[in-house]
Amino acid sequence: MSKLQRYIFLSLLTAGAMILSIIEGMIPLPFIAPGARLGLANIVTLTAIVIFGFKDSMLVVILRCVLMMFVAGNPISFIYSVTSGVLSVIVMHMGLKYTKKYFSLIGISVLGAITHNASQITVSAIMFESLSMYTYLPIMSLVSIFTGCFVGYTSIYITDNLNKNLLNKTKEV
Amino acid sequence: MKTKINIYDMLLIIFIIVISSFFILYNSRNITYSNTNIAVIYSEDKIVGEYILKESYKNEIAVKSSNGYNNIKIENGKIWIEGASCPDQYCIHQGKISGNGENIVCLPNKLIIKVMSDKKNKEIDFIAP
Ligand SMILES: [Zn+2]
Repeated sequence: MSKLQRYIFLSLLTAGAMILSIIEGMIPLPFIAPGARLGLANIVTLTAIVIFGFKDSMLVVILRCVLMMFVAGNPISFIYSVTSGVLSVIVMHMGLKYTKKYFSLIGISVLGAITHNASQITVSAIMFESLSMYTYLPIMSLVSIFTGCFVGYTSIYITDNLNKNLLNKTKEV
Repeated sequence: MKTKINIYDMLLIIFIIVISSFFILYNSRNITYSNTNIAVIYSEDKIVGEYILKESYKNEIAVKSSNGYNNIKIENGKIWIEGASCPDQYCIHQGKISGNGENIVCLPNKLIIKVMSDKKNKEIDFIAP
């Protein structure tokens, strides 16, 4: 892939992630504080990790968070999304690197979803200075399973299609 | 790439479900149990602190004001003043309190202890958007 192609791809991924952020902003999370998100943008994060690797996916996540802050004008959302986004990248990258033998992308995205929710709870625990926020962690972990499976299946579908049709790769990743 | 959910994913998911359910049950048991009150201590119109009144919580608080001191004790879900510098010692005679709405006042030292339901406190912490 040429440099230009890569840049175009990364900006398309960032745009996709922003759209997902906007969509999940319309879904209110009943449990945690305002600014917390479901974590659908992890679809893009995971796709980016599989296709481009760690550095570029980190770039996509940070770009998405910064741009979303300019679009939505919400610094609190930014704190939530940048913390959970960065930590999700790290955990899913590690997951893909070390547990690829065992987990499919579904397992890895479940790990990512739990990281996402745990870090959001940590952010709100710090903001509200209340450790009791962690009582929501088990409920949010159950939610993580559903978002994780959804994100995992979607990422498998996207990466397969990208590999076959656009990147002209026939070999399995 | 494996396009299907495999046995390890399943195990991970089952593991998370078991752990989460355990903690959800554990928490819900705790919440029904801890329908407790809190005591708020005011000294000279300022909040000194909020203390939970439950069986397992014990504390001794010494509050100093410009006029003197009050030694407050919390034990067995009750709060009372054990010692005070005030001349009338009336705050000590008000005894042990624990119920929502009860209070102890020490006028000479401008000290008030109010007991209230913990519910208000929780709502502030967990208020939804
Ligand atoms: Zn007194």
